[in-house]
Amino acid sequence: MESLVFFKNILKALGKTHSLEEKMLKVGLVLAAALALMAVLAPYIAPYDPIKMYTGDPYTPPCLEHLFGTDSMGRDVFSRVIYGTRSALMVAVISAAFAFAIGIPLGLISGYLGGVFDRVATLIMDALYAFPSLVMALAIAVALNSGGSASVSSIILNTAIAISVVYIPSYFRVIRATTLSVKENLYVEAARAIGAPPLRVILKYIAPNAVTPAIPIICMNFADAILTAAGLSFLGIGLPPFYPDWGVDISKGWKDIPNGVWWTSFFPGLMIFIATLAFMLISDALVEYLNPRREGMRS
Amino acid sequence: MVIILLTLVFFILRILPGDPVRVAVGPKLPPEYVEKIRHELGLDKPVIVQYFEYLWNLLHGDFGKSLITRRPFADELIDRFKASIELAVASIIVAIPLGLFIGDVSAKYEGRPLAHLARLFTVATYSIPVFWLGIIFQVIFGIWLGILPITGGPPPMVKYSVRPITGFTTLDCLLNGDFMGFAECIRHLILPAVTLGIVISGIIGKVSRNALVEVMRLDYVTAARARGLPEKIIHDRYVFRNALIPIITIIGLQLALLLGGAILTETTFDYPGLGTYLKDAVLSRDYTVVQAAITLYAVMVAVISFIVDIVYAFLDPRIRY
Repeated sequence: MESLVFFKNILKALGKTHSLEEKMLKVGLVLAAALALMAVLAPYIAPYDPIKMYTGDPYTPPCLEHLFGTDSMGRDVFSRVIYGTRSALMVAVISAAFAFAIGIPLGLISGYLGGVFDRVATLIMDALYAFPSLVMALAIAVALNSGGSASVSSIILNTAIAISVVYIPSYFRVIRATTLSVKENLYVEAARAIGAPPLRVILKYIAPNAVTPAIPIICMNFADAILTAAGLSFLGIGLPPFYPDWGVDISKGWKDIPNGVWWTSFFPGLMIFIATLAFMLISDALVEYLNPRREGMRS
Repeated sequence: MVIILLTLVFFILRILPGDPVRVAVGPKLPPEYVEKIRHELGLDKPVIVQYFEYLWNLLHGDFGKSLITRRPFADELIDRFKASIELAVASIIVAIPLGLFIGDVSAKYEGRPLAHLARLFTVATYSIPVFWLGIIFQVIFGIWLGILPITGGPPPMVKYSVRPITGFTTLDCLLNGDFMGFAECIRHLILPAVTLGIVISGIIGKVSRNALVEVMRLDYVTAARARGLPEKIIHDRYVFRNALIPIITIIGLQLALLLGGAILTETTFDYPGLGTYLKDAVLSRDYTVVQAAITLYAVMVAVISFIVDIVYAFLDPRIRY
C-alpha cells in the first residue's frame, strides 16, 4: 500500500533531523500540537475571561498583568488570542473535512468513469479553480450568513463551507490525475475481469493507492482555511465583534493603529501567521517526500 | 473559458438564497413598489431570458445598472480598475526582482544555509496574512517613523487637480509635468506595493527555484561546465533562459490575480481599487456590479495568458503557433 509506505517514510524522517524537510516537518508538527493543546486547554491557560470587559484600563500596553495589553473595552488581548485558536482550528477542521469528503469521491469517480461525467466535472472544477478564491469565499459566506441573527456556531459552519467550496477543486484535480494512472494497473483490470462492480473497484483497489497525494493538500487546506477565515473576519463577514477570533480582533484593532495602539492587532495577526505557518511547513515538507520535483502553487 | 466563468458567476449569484432587491431597498418598502423596481431592472423575467440578455448586453459593452444605486456604474468601475492596474504594476515591479533573487539563491546554493533561508522565506510568505503584514508596515513606516502615508492610492487633492490624460493619476502627473503630484502618488503607492510585492515574490521565488534546479541538472549544463565556461555565462545564458517559461507563467498568473483586485491589501490601505469595489458590491449584494467586476477579471486573465503565450514564442524559438 502506497499510503502505508508514505507514512513509514514520514515516521522514519521524524527520527532524524538532517535535511531541511525533516526539520520543517518537526517544527510544523510541534507548533500544530501546541495549537491544538491551546484550543483544548484555553480556559486553563487564559488568565482572564476573553469577553469580560474592563479587566484592566482600556488600551493598557503589554505589561506583566496583561501580557499582550488590553483592547478598547479593556479586554485582555492575551486571553482572546488563546481562545481565538478554537474558532480558527474549528473552521480549518470542518472545511478540510467537507472539501475532502466531496473532492476525493468526485475525483475518484470522475477519473475512473471518464466520459461525459468526467468532462463536465473537470470543466466545472477548472472554472471554480480559476475563480479568485477569496471573492468566491466572500460571496458564499455573505449569502449563507444572510439569515439575520445567526448563532456563532452556524457562522463558523458557514465560513467553513465557503472555504471548502474553494478547496474542492484542489482535491479533485490531484485525485483524478492519480486515479487515471492507478486504474491502468493490471490488478484493476483483473478485478474488473472477475466482475467486481465499479464501486468495489474504486473503493478496494483504486482509492487506497490514489489518495496519498491528498495528504499534503489537507495540510495546505488547513493553512489556507485559517488564513481565509481570518481574511473574511477582517473584511467584516462572519463572527460577531465580541467573539474571540483572530480575524475579528484584527479588524477591530486595526482601527486603533493611527492612535499608536499596535498590540490589539499585532498579536492576533502573529497567531494567524504562526498557525498558518505550522501547517504550511508540514505540507511543504510532505510534498517533498511524495515527489522531489513538484511545482507548488497556491491557488 | 471566459464564457464558462461568466455563466458560473451568473447562476451562482442567482442560486444563492436571499433577495437582492429586498436587501437594496430595505424591509419596510411595500411589495408593489419592490415589484416595480424588479420590473425596472428586468429581474422579473425568467432566469434564462435574463442570462441571454446579460450576455447580449455585455457584447455591446453594457454592464447594466447597479442594483443599489440603480444607475450605470461603468465609469466608476473603469476608474477603480485603473487604480488597481497602478497597484498591480507597482507590486509586480517589487515582486519580480525579489522573487527571482530568492529563486536564484535557493537554486544556486542548494543544500546550504542560504538556500534554506530562502526556502523558509517562501514558506513564510505563503503563510503571512497580507493584511497583517500591511498593518505592521503601517505601524513602522507610517506611525513610528512617520515617513510614509498609511493610506494608499492617489490623494484626492492630486487626483482631482491634475488634468486627466490617461486616467492613471500617477502617469497623468508625469505627463502634465506635475512632479510634486507624481512624488505624492508614488509615496502613497510604496507601502501597498511592497506589501503585495513581498507576498507574491515568495510564489515567484518558489517556482523559479524549481525551474532553475530542473534545468541545472540537464546534460548540456554539465557539458558547458566540462568545457570550462565561466559559471556566470552558464547561469545567464544556459540555465536562466531555459528556466524562464514556468517563471513567466507564474508571473502572468499573479499579475492577473492582482488586476482582479487585491481585496485584503486594498482594504488595509483604504486603496480605491477594484478589490475594495468588489468587496463593497459583494457585501451589499449588488449582483450586476459583482458580475461586471468578475467579467473584467475573466477578460484580464484571457488577455494576459494570450500575452504570455506570445512571450513564450520569443523566449523559445521552438514554439510556433
